[in-house]
Order: sequence, then C-alpha cells, then structure tokens
Amino acid sequence: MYSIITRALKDKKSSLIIFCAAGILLLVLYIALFPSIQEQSSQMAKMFDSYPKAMLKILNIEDLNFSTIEKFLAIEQYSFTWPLLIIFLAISFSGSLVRDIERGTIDFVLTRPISRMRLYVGRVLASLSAVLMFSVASILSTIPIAAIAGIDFIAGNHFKMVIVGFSFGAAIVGLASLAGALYSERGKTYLVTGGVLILMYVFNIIAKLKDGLSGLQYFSLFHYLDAGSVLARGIMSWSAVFALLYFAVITIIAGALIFQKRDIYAAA
Amino acid sequence: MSSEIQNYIGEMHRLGYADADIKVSLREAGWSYDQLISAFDNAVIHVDGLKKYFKNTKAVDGISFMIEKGEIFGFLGPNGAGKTTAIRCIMDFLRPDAGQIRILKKDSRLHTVELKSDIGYLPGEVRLYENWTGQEHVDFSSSFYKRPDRAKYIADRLTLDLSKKTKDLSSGNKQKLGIVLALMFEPQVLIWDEPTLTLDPLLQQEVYALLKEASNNGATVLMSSHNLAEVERVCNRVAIIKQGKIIAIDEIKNLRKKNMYTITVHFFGILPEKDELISDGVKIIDELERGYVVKVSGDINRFLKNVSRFQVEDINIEKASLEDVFLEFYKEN
Repeated sequence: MYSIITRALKDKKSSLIIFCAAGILLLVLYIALFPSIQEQSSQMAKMFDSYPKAMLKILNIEDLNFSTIEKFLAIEQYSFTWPLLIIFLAISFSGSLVRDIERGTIDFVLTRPISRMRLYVGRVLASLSAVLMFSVASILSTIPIAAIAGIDFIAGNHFKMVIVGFSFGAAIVGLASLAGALYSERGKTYLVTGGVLILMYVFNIIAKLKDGLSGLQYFSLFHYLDAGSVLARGIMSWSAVFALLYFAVITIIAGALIFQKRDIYAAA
Repeated sequence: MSSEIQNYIGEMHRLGYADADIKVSLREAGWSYDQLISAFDNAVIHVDGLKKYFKNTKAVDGISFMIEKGEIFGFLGPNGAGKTTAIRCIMDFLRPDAGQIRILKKDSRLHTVELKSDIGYLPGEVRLYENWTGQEHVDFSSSFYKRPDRAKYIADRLTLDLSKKTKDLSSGNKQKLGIVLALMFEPQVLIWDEPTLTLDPLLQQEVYALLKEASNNGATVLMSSHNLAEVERVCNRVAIIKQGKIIAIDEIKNLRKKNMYTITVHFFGILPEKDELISDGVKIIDELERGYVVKVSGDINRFLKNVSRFQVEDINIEKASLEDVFLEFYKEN
C-alpha cells in the first residue's frame, strides 16, 4: 500500500507543487493588495451595499467587508478561486486510476500481488494526501505572509479553514473516485464529476435565491464550504465538516465496491 | 496423467462437456475416485465452462481445458476469436459470466493476490508508465514480493538498459522490459498473450528459448498466438479457438499426424467428371485444363484407387502443413 501511495504522489509531484504554488501566489497577491483595499474599506462597503442583494447572497458575502484580512480573503480567495483550485487538484489526482485503465498501465499494476481494493484505497489515500498538502500550504501560508507584511491576522481561523477546506477537497476526491470506478475513459469521468459539481453549485445558488427551495442547499457541497463564517467570524460548523466527510466516505466506499466488481478493459 | 486420458478429456472439453459430466462418464467407465482426483485436480491451470459475454457478443462461450505442470500450452486462433478475453478472465481482469478458473489448485478470483505472486503475465503490447525507468518498474514490482529478483540477470541477457525511461524505449525494448517483469520472480505459471507480436525474428527466438527454459525448470506456460508456426515450434499441446469456442484440443504431434494431402492430378484422354472422384474426405479445390487439385483428408488409398480407374499423366502428392490442418479445422467448424 505504501508504495502505491508514494508512487502516486511522486508521479504527480510537479502538478502538486504547481497547484500549491498557485494557491500561495494568489495569497501573496491578495495580501499585498490588502493594505490599500483596507484603507478604502468604508467606500468598498458602500459599493457592496449598491450590489444586488441576490449577488451578495450567491457569493456568500452578505455581511462581509474588507476591514480584516480574513474577511478580505473570504471574499477574494475562498469564494471562487480557491474552491476551483482544489476541485481541479482533487479531480486530477483521483483520475489516476481511470488514466491507468485508459492507457492499459493498470495491467502492469494488477499483475503484481496486490488486490484491487488495496490499489483503489492506495490511490484514494494519495489523493487525500495531496488535498491535505494543498490545503495546508495554500491556507496556512497566510500566517507567515501576513506576518511579513505586518498585517494583523487571527491564526485560529486559518487552522479552522484548513479543516473545512480539506473536508471539501476530500468530498471532491470521493466523487471523482466514484466516477473513476465507473468508467474506463477519463473524458467521461471528468464530465460526470464536473457535471455533478455544476449541478451542486446551481442547487446552492437556487437555494439562496428562492426561499421555497432552500432545502436544495443541503445537496450541495458548496453550501458546507462557508469561508465567510469560518474565516471572518471564526465559527466552524462541525456538522458541515461531518457532512463533507460523510459524503467523502460514502462515495469512496461505493467506488471501491464498484471497482472491485467491474471488468478492467485496457483501452484499444 | 497419460496423454490418452489427457486427449480424452480434451476431446470431451472440445465437445462442450463440463468437468462434472466428464467425471460422471469416467466413473461409469470404472474409474476410481482417486483416479478422477489425479486426472482433474493436478492441473496447474484448470478452466471449466468459462463464459464471458459483452452485451450480445459471446466473446468466450463455454470453454474448458486443463494444463499440466511443465506443459507449454498454445491457445491458437485469429484476432477476435476470444483468446485475449479468456486470458483476461484467467488473470482476473474480467469477471466471467459463468465457469470456474483454478490455478495451482486455487480459485483464480478468491486467491487472486496470492496467485499473482506465482504468475508471470505478458501481454502482446506491454503498456508501461512512460515516465518511469525500467529500474523504477522493477523496484515498484519488488516492493510487493518477499523474495529476491532476477531482473538484472534477465535484462543483461536481453541486452536491455534498465536506466532508460520507458518513453525512450523502442517497442521491442518495451516488450523486453515486459519479459523482465514477467520472469523476474521465477513464476510457476507463465501466461503470455501473443508475446511476440511486436518483436523482430531475433528477439522472437530469444522469447522461445526463455519459454522452453522456464518449462524445463517446471514452469507451466499458457501462450496465446495467431501464429501457427510459433505454436508448432514452442508448444506441446494446443487448443484452437473460434468464435469463443474451443474447436480442437490436441497434442501438436497428433495434429501433425492428421492426414491431409493436396493432390494435383493430370489425366490423359477423357477428363473424369468431378463426381467420379469425390468421395468422403475428398474435395476438389481447383479445376485445371487436364486435371484437378484435390484436398484429401484421412485415408488416401480410396482416392488413389478411384483415380487409378483413369489414365493418369502426372500426379503430385503433398502432405498438408499444420497450417492447412488448422485452416481445415476452421472451415469445418
């Protein structure tokens, strides 16, 4: 199992470094911008007031402003770019199994004395490790960068964000691994995973806009990634974390059972 | 097991009988329980009633065969006959719709991990990680075994540089790496699916030598091929597969013995009518200006007697090659 995990991480080392670097560079950019933005915080707050309420709801920034680095990052980094980065990272790592099936390299692995279950679990653990490394690097880097820039920060909130962010990434790993267990082509796997995530995103928006459909938010992973509450207010909902991890566990188990039973076709 | 019994069971398998039916017939013939055990349970690879369907396609349709220790068993058939599907079921990559596969007396699915330690698998076109070196493939493989490997010895013998990345290797060298990976732990069973497909003739010879060497050391080999000359040269026994069914299982020497002749005969005077020459096992395959080209299966004397009623100018008798025998099987079935 250990060699499966280390080998999977080694094979995708470059892309993991690129993703982490992108996350950190974005942080550097936002933190560098923050002092000038903070000076105009009151004007910005007025500007937000003029935005349609629905838009603020969709971006989950209704009660936020730019008075602290946490509020600023919740709006700029964690409302869109960071979730996108972790989604791409998780899908890319979780696609390693279907990539092996498509290219036929899975024959080489499965002719070694290793069970399908161990292979599947090994690859999932490698993906989760990558998500964890990315979460730690791209979230906790705020602390040294802000310290160097002389900006006040609340360290505890960033640690809480790592927990929520990792759980969100784990849920994406679960979804992508389940799709990977179902198909033999990467294209289909990415299409299904992407399709489900877009649907979930839409559910989240509709739930915020239509009071009668507010229940739809519980079917969306994006609902549980509430950076506004975690970073700006320091409130981490354990039920949201458990919901994300529960989704991850269920999809990972379902994927394992399907992968155990399916036919392995080497691509033509 | 004696070759007579082996051939009897092989013939019953060819006719589509499952092991249970064959055992009943042998019991009725007076076989003891111990004899049955030794006939059926000592096979190293034992496939019984294997079926694998893909939607409406019967890729493998109820095949059975047994391979004994040290045998090199050929699985012969053209592309699409079901060889690779059967092998992928044996390797537990595909889940059969029916049937049982036992390797080294263990169920191939229940004991898949354990069995993989003793199986050296080689596909026709090895697919490896392009960014890994040969040595990385070897090291990755070694991490799952608890015994020393012979990778360096085999690589040296095949003149393969293990330090190169797979993407920099030619298709022949990739296949060599596949051979190294298949043989590095001296497996008891070799399952090679068209192993010489991408190899040049020199390397083909090396592969045949390695297979024979492994067999001499007690390894059991299942090798698929669509190349009859290859099977004839390497294998002890062969199963011919067509449209997912086994249409013949026999020892190579017996197949060679199948009497089949191509006879070109020219006549003086009146050319006999075709009907005057045709009898059981005789087919006219070409009509010449003053004679015929005839294919005769079985006893040649009846045909010669028949021909002697006419004035023969010239006659040329050629014994059919194994390829002709194989093609005849295909036409008949």
